[in-house]
Amino acid sequence: MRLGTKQAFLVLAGEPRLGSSTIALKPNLGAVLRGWTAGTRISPVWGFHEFGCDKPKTIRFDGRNILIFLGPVSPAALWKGVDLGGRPANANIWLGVGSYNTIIRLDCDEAGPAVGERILEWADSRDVPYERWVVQSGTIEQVSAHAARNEGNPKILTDLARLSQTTFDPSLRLEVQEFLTLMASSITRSANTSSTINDRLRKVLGSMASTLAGSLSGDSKRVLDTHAALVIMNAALSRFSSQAFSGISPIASTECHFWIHSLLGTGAANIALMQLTSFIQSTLGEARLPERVLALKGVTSQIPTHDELLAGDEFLWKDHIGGLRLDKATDGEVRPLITYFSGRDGYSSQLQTLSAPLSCIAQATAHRTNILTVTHEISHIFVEGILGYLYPDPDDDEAFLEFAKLSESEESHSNLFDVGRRLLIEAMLTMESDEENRQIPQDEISADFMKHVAVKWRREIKEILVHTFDYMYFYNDDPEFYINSIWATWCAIPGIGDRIEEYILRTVCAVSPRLLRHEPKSRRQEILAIFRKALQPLADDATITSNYATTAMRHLASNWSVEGGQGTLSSAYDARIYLVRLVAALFHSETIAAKLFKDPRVVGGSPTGYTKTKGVFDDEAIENPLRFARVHLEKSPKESDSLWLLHNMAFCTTQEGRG
Amino acid sequence: MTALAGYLLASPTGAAIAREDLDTAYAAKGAAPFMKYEQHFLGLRLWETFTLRSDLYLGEDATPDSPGPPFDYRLVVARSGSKLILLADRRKIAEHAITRVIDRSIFPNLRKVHFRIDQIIHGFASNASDPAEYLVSSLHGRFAGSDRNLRTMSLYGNDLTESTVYREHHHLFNFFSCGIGRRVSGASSSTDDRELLRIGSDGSISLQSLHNHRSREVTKVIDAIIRNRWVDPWVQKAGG
Repeated sequence: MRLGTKQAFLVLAGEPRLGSSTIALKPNLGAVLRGWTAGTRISPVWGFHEFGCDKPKTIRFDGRNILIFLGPVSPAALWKGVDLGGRPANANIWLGVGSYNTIIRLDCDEAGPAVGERILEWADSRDVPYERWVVQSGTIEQVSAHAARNEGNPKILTDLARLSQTTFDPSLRLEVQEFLTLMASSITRSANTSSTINDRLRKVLGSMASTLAGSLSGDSKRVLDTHAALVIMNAALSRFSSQAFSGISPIASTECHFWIHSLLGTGAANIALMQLTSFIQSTLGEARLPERVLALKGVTSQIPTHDELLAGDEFLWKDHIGGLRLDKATDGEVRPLITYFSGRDGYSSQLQTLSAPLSCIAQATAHRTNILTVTHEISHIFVEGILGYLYPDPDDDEAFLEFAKLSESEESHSNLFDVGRRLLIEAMLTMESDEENRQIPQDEISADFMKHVAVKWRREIKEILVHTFDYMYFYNDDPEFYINSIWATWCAIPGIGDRIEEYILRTVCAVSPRLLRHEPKSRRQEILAIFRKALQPLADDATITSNYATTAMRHLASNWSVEGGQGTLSSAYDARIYLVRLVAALFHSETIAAKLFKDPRVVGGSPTGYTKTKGVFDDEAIENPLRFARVHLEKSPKESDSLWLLHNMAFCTTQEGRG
Repeated sequence: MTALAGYLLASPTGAAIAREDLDTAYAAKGAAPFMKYEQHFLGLRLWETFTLRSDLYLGEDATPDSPGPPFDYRLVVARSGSKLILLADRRKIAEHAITRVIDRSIFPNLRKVHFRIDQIIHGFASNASDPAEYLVSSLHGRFAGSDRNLRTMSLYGNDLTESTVYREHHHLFNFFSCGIGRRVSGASSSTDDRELLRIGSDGSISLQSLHNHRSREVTKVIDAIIRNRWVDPWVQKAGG
């Protein structure tokens, strides 16, 4: 079934009680706004060609109609599972972004009710939630509903009640109360809606319960950390809940605060984002990257010499961590995330929360502003985990003493973990040296000095490592795509013009791994060309609001020297290249990276590797939402393509969504 | 008989597929497209032939060499419980029969059974604990690694899972189709002789020829794949 490319708007008007609310379909936003009332709520929907509604037009639902709101479910599962009577002319099917993502209209003539019964019977048998309206001349006259029957809520609610009776630190009281009630609401609502969401929420609750239990030790730092975790989690959970559970039954009483989706919410898009992050987290989580880096302490052979470490090539391209055998007892499970969309936060991640820009819902397939930029936020989680082992804790004086000693040695190190630390130290020292515009003599490098530079440069070092990690694992060595995506994201953030130099450095470092084979001068030359080529189209794009790309091009022109030399941007780049070496040599594994793009559903004879056609809905499964999204990006996407992508990510990766 | 191509299909509910479910000629009242049962194929119990009648020309030549529409196409079908092998002279004929006839007569629709090519290759490797009856004679895969200069790899041989190239690089590929042959110790026959069928991750099956003995071999291979669960998890193991 082929989806129309133009959206219409389903418009609910009036009060949320029977006999006083009306429903209509309007062909465009202007038509909606002209008739807006205080009680109006709307959602964009797209019609299917085979059901005669792919071209938006006004429908007032004259006569007697049955409207069925069904979901979350793959729409193809419906027509694959139910005999719709040869796609009758007296039926329409639209697709939306909400949890009730499939909207069906049937005439109340002789065939309509029978088809309606078959649909509801099918939904009942598969536990797909729905709400059924009988609409007479646009007025809603009857409402009935079916909720999913996920089990186990009583136990969860008992757990929440038990937590509410625990005596936590008084400073946590309000946040704990808010968290418990938010969680109770979200879990009970998700139990009636989606087992995918319900499972995720249970995991988050388990993880937060551990955090709360940790605060009982009385350690004031843990109490503070718990407080921060609760504040962040409550904000994320509140937004997630408002997005995913708006528009579920009773539809007329649940309102989403994204006003363009105020009628049916964005539940389907929330599930898509959840599936994407789950896939990446579980694939990299299973690989236990931080534990692998730690296990390099046991690798004592084939250690590079000091010269090889700082400038050699061969050492970089061996997969040092992919083949390591880890102790099974090590817990590599990654903390489950609450993911949500936010117009204000854009791409952002905290310990257990992750947001993507609201624009992703409409532009998930856009080459520049696609949903895959979320990988940067996920990269933060893994790099933080690795740095937890590699980077010294500011309170650990012993570690800084060890760092100072490591900095002296020009002999081979005893194991590859120390090799990693040495690269980190080299980066810290050259960054400091570059900024200070002087060589740092060895006798100045004490434990205190190491502590000073480690604390000072931590944020920037982490960002460069994250960018390089993101590029190497998720961008298949495609610098133009990476630069375009990351700068388009930055261009959407107002007021960061004063950080352009930092962003240039992050970018050129990230895309440098393959240039590590080059001599420094050739590398500087090459990276300049790559950066300019990738950024020029963005600089030329008049539609971009905050066009930092132009500023970056200008800054680069006056500060980059192919010859290098103190005080130039290229010398700052040279100083940071040790961080790129660190990621390429010890954070990245070709074997593990390939798992991120493995999908047993890949087929031959298709440019994308999938049998699916954009805009056409089928129930063919995919197993890798990351790969699927990556191969379906395009330069000039349609909003309906974004809907198609999100639906496939949400429902074709699970049995639940496929009915 | 010449080469055949098509799909393995199964009912998602495990409902048995009857001949009457496929023979839609009567219900169609003569209006194409429909399928009509003809006879048992080569006298075999599981195998049957049908005729697909369609107004659409699905031939290889630019213009049909027989008068029409309607056009008649031969389908070769093996039914067993809730599963079905549907073959035709060209895959697009099988596809047409599925989307235009079978999907409109059987609800819930039959689904293509996706073969887990990675698992099948691994399962048929000669170093598996239980020596496999079959071997892998061809492999096609898309590169999943980060080198943009490489896209796909195809391998042909007598027992590919034994090759160094496969062993060292298989984890970097999404294999989407493979040829399967019978493992014959000491045999000197060529790959072409030994290859029984090719299967794809999309549920596709293709055969160079289908005769009495070969048809039994084909159903045995498919049975082995299903028995080992190298297919979608929703597919009924046996009997269904």
